[in-house]
Amino acid sequence: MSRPRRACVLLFVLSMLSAACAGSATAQEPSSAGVLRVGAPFFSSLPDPVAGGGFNALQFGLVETLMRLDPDLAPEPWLAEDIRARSDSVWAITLREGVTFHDGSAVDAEAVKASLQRAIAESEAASALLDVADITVEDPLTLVVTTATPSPNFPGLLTDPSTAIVSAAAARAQGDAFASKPVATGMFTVEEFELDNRLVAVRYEGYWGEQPKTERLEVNVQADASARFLALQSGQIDLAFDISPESVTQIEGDPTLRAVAAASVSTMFIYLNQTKEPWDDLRVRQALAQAAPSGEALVRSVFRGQAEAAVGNLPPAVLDCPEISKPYVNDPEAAQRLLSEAGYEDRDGDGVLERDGQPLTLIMLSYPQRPALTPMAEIIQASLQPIGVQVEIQSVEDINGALATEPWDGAMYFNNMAATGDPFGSLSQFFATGGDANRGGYTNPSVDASIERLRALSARAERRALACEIDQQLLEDVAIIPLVYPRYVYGVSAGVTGFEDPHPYFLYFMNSEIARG
Amino acid sequence: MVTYTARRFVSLVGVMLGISAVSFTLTALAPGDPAYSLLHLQQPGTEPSAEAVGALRAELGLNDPAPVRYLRWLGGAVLGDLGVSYRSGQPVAAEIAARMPATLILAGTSLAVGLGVGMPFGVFAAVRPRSWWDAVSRVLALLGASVPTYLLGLLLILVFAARLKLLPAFGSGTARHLILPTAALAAGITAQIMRLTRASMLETLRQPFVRTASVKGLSATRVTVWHGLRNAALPVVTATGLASGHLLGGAVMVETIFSREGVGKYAVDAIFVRDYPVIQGAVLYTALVFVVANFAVDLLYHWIDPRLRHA
Repeated sequence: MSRPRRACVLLFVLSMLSAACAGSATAQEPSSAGVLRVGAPFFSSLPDPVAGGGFNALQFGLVETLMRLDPDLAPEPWLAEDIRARSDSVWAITLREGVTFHDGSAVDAEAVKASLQRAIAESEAASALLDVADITVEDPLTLVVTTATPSPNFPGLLTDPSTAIVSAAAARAQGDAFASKPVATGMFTVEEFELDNRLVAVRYEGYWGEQPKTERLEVNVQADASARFLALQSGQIDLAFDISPESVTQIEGDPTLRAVAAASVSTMFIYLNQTKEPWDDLRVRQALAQAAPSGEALVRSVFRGQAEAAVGNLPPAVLDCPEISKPYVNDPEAAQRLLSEAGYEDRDGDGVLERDGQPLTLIMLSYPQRPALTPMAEIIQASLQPIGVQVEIQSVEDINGALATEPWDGAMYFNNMAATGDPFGSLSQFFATGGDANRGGYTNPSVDASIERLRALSARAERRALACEIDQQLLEDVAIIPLVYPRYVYGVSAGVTGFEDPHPYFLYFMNSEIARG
Repeated sequence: MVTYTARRFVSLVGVMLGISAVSFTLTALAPGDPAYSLLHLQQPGTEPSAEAVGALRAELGLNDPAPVRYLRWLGGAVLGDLGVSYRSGQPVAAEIAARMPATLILAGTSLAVGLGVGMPFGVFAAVRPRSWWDAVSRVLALLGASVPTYLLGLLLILVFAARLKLLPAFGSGTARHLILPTAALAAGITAQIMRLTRASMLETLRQPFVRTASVKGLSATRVTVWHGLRNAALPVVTATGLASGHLLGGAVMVETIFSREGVGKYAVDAIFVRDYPVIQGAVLYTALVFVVANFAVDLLYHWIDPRLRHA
């Protein structure tokens, strides 16, 4: 062997050694019994419900609210034992007996009052939501809340995680530390917390309800869905949130894993910019609704079955309307007739319709955070092309910023419609004139009036009937084009028990039954 | 040398001021409202009300004009106070410091692998150009440079964690947690260093002084390493300096896939919610890292190349 070659071989061997010296690996670290390791897509706000909104904290059993949503998304008592209306704006709340905070102190009417007052004083969201005029303690387990305006859905509002009950006294005493380790009533208490990264929680032995079978809960934030699923396959976690349809297909061939789907509480839809020609013309919107691919086709091709085709604007878990029907079903010929009625024809023979020399082009915004949206936009693009509508897809990072500032005609969008379990919130935000999320500028005075009536209606059956009536009108007007209700699918290791029938709303993920067997 | 260092320090201050002003302007002009994003984040997938957004804007002081906000921020930054994260309520400087070890360690191992594998492979390929070793190293370099980090990371997890169950799929804490992220991150750097070393070595080995050294009777190893590699190292040092700037700034993809709490992921998470103080802090940190890395490269030049020392 010549000298330069020997030198190089030596260098090579050294470099390989240095690369390999990180150590020969052994098998995965074994996990002790009673520990449940979860991979979640985000934990992006602080556990204190006032500082962070309470969503993740409630989801993982750290905090609890006075009311919660049952599996039909109807409000039911939780920390409260009972709630009664003395009038539309006066509510008497009776508390459950024997509930204690994580520091052992009692959860009585005074403590609940202090917690609600803290939320109202420090969280604008909670203050605007509850709209409280006065809270009075009547006896150690009863408090009376008076709202500033009639609020027939007040029990529903008390399910909002930002109103979760914490010890206001402990919050005052602990200062900043409280934000990461709130003293609340949940089945778990925080042992270790790092924003966007990790939560370790241990069982609260003094928990008022059934003791959780899991002693220690480890939540790992894994933003990337593929990485989350691979971590589940590797055995490093026992349960992965929100896995992709492709992963579900893989699970079907793997005996050590199973997929658990919750009913959908969200809608994927198309916003149409009705402040702009020609989308202000009902005939044009109707033509789009008729030429758009059927929800069933999208469910098959994009979701591999892990979604339901949309009928109404809200999923059935939130608003169950068997009586409503799609007024405009897939019918490209009817769509073409409507467009020619609206004055569109293809004069230059390029396959795109024109009116007054302007081609019928639709700029469709989409965003990558919901991976199914852009493939759906592409299918929509392909199915609108034969009727002469040219769709240009633009993917943006910040969809809401783009919708507020950039020119657009249509936008793919995802929204969770389950907040407070009542259709009123979503209907008023998305469809009332001037609603915060009414980004397409849809307006119909009769719908506005119906939504106002819905606000004051208290009987649940009547609320449902009116909400369904509104939903049917929205479909007739093509306020938006609802496409699918995607399912929320968990990937679960075969050893995990107590998770056969998850709550439809992932806010209520944690329960005392879930455990690794 | 002292004047040189002092000059560099003055220019560092200028660079940081300029960068902070530019990044502040860009974030202020970019669409997106921190108050909206924060509330949207707290209730995943639902819509915050306009009142709540307005109140939070006021609370965060976002209704002041951008120049006022910049000067307020600058006033604090000069005194070492980078402000408080909108999301966590914690001081930005402390949060960056807490995430630096994860980033530094990964940058260190990746650079070590990049240099430790890339340079010997490059030298070997240059000593025997067009040999089968050269061909192999060329294919490896092509793969390393062209497979996206994201894909490589997932493939590594698929093979070594999900299938073979040899290594952890994510997390940090032990040396074993470092192997896959290092491999994913080092691939591109190794490829770059390998090709650069080869090209530079080929050039150098053709120089008359190398022939002279051989004719003088020096051993082939001494000629290759001492005379050849030392002269060929300058472009490699430059590339390594730049690469280390990128690595120390945080490897966003790798940090995200492997759930490592580093500076890069911290900055990107902040960008998504428009956490302005964190964005500003992260930009300053990255600028500092690049300036320091370039400075280190200059110092290394002086050490490697005697001509610069005596110039």
